[in-house]
Amino acid sequence: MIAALVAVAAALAVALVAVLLLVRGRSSASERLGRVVHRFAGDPEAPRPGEARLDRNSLDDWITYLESVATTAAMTANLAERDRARWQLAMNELAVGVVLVDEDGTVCASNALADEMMSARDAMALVGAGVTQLLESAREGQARSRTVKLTGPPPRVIEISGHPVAGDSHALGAVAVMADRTEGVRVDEVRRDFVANLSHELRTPVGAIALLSETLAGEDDAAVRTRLVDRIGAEADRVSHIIDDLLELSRVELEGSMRQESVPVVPLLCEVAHQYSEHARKHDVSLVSPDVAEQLVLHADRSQLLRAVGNLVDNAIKYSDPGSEVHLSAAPRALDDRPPSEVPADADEQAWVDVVVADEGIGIPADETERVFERFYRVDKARARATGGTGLGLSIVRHVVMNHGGEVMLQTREGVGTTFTLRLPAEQDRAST
Amino acid sequence: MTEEVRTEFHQLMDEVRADLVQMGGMVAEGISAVSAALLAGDIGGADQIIAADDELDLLSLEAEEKCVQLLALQQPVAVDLRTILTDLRMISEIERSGDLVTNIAKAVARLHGAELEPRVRGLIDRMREQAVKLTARAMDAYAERDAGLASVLNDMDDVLDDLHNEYIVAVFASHELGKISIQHAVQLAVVGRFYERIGDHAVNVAERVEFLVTGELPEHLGANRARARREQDEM
Repeated sequence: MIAALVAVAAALAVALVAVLLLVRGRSSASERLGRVVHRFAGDPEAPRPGEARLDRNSLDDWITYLESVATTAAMTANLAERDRARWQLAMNELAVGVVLVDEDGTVCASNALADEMMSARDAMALVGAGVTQLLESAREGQARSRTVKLTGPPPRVIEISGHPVAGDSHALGAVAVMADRTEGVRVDEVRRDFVANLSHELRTPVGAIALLSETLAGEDDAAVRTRLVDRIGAEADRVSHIIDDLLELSRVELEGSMRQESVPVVPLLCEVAHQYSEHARKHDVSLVSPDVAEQLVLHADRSQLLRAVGNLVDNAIKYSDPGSEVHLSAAPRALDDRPPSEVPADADEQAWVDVVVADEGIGIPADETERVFERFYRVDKARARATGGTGLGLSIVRHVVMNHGGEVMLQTREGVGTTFTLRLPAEQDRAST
Repeated sequence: MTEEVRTEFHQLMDEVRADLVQMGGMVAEGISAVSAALLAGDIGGADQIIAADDELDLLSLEAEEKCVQLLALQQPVAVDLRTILTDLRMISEIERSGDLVTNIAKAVARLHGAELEPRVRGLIDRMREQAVKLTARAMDAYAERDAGLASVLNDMDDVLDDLHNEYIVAVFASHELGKISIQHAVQLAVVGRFYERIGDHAVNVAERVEFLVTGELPEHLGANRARARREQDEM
């Protein structure tokens, strides 16, 4: 619009000069010309027709004046253009999608997030369709909102709303806002489930102990008594495991990683492999120890890492079929995914080591991958309890990795297997050599 | 056509295009939702999906009416005519995909009590992923009038076909091992077929887009051969 204005201004200016040249010398034409120029400049002092208040009579004066008017117009246009660009960039920074339409329903402004959502052709196209409908009713003066739930994976919850944009007396168009509520909904769900799961996990064994001891009191048969006592012992073990894990988790959460030391990767993985070799043999799973040629060294808290990698190996063994393999490995990884050879040996560039635990087990359903790190969250409740897990193992893993500033990545497919990758900071001195 | 009529005409055509993209979105969401219901054995969720198909049917009828209106009142020619004919064919392709989603949803109740093995579950998930991808890319090709993208769809469908074959083998292997009954195995096999058919419809959409952009259909090759044979017979 601004560009069009400038073009009109330029055309007008040329026309004015032409007219000026033609009518030169005729004072009435000069007067009219003066009025036009004044009006064009938006000069409040512009004389109305019939008012001969003109102080610029020579052609040179008029041209000079016209030049200044043109310069001002260009500056105004430039400012408006910058203003528009500023608004657009600011809108792009918003965490919500915004679309503005005029009274005919033509889009006159939208931010990057809105463009992305509106141009989707997968399930997200439902958001675009909903926004189009809401904008239509908003143009008729109706403010409405709606929640669009997409199954995914990953699941998304998008709240969309349309609002009329009206001046004092008439409608100017409508605006629609798209807000991603996925995270909020997820957090609510996690909180709700945590309380329910925690009470369930603690109550089940305690309730069992109460019942078993009641039965024990009225039981005379020595064989049955022994069995009941064993069961009570097992349930007590389960409670104590859960409490141990809870304490471990809160310790990991509270203290962060206090003892940062040099941790060579190969001995670390070997120790874990050794620790779980008996467990693996019981499940008829072969634990394939690391074959890491390079001398990788982590800068980390060794005992926390032992725990984290151990939890992963424990899970991998538990959820593998007999006869399959669990692989432990490690590889250097630069922060920006370049091969290590291309990364300059820059001191302040953090180098990373990926510690990988891969199994050929049952895998995790695609819609559960985001939830398995939650406390007490279980994919298959019956199986998980039967295998003796506390439901806290992966929460501990995630916290340990977070303490080191790294990240956990999870790749899985049901029936194919699961691969956990822990990206952890490498020891700086070694990394640069 | 006067300027005003032309604008109205194109506005209506744009509306049909938006309706079709929305229908594609409904099918993509339907595939995801029905797969989740199938894997969770969620019969209530499946019933909701069956009910949601009515909306797709309504939308497809509305879009069809718009197309008929365009044809009857404006008598379009050339690319406009081709667009409307493509739209009409697309509506039935997408509507049919929606029916297939409903069919899967109906199978959820029949599969009640079946313990699916991880391998079968994983393959269902991969077929879901591929079917959603195919549907979304077909709609991309349509909305962007991208004939190049359309030709990619065929290769993507081959992946789905391979997954389908692998899945059928896995289902019957699972039956052999006594994990699922023969009734459930047959039901699962039929479900796999529905996923595979959704991919075929996406390929049909893409072929229609190719026709829209280039005026050529893959069937033209075969049709030309048949025509040549017929002419030879007549000589």
